[in-house]
Amino acid sequence: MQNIIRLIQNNSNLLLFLFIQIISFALIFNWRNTLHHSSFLSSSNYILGSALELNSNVSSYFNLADINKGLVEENEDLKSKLHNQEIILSNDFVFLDDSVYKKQYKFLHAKIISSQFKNRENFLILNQGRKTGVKQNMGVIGNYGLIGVVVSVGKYYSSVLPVINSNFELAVRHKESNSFGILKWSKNDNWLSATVEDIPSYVNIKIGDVIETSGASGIFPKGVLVGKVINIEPVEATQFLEIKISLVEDYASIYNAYVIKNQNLKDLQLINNVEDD
Amino acid sequence: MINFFSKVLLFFVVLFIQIFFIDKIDLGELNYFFAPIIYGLIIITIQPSIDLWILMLIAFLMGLSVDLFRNTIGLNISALVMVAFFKYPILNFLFPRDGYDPLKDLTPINIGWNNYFFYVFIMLFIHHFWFLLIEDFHFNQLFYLFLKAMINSIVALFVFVLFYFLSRKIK
Repeated sequence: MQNIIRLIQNNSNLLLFLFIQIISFALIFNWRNTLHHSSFLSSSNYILGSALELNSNVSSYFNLADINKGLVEENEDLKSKLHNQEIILSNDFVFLDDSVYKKQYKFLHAKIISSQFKNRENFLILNQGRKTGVKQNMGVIGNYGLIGVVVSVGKYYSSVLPVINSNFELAVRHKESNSFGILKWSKNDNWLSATVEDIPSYVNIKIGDVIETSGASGIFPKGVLVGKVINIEPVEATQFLEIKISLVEDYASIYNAYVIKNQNLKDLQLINNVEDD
Repeated sequence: MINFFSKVLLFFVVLFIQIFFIDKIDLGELNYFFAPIIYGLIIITIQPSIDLWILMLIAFLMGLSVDLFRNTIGLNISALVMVAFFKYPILNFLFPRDGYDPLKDLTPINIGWNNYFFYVFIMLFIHHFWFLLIEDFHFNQLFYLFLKAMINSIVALFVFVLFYFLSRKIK
């Protein structure tokens, strides 16, 4: 016993060193091997989240011009829609705020406090969490278009699986022909591009055509911009095309997001369950 | 006591510069080769009279702070504690018995310019190489890792010298 204690005393520094190394390696592998990070260690955690928010609060001042540009462009888009509507409706004074109509989607503004784009499995962190009503599997869009889906929610922060993550999949459609495809982020895509698969080869697609969300999942409304076609290739031995698109959101400089809540999602899920049975 | 407070201040200054300046530098295609790590400044240059376990605890705190900001839990802790652990063996190996004053910081004036460059470069190289190795966790690109560690160590060494001149001016 004496000898063991003396051994520990003599090598206490080495033991401390090994102890810290083992802890840090356990943390590294725990972090890498789980997609849905446990809320204690993930960035949706309060301490990590507030550190990142402090970081973004400081650094976002250097990008105010970019942020403003995005907001102004979005405003321009919204204004043009608003005023067009006025012209159409001004003849009969139709009131859209009727009990016949119900708003299906609600939007919640969130700041993106951390965004990764250099890895294969990138995540974004938002500064909205359970307290403000964010839940798993809610859609997230930005100033220009589609961003991703919420995967884990903390009390004040939540993390988002963006299009530029190799685990991402979503049903999208070609705007001109209405034909459906599946949006993926394949191996040779960088942070500005993505791939659309499963569009049949008889569909007439041109470079520059718009790809938008289909609204089938109920996560996103119909017609949210995803990207523009930059390359079309037929897949050998199948009747399908493989389409490269350039994404509308630049994940290297992205600051504002809106979390989408679908108020009719329960009904949709009920229908889907009936279909499954 | 003044020395202690100045070291605490240095801790935050180094952390700040690493996170908000060095990490924000965007060189486009060259990003893969440019990622210097300078937050080991305190561990590498603090006076050698400090006990190893205190040094390792400082390294742990520093690594944890950087990890929190970079969202890579564990990576920087492991790398910086490695540097702290190898500091005294390397000092003993490089310098003769009385080659340095253990009560003074390891600055170019105290240990000489040549010694300073040599010693700091080796420490920085250990830091970068271990960091890149556990970040990639592949052993099939060892030459690239080696090259990358070399380049970034030289850049970081340059930053260290700048830091030294600045701190001398402030005093």
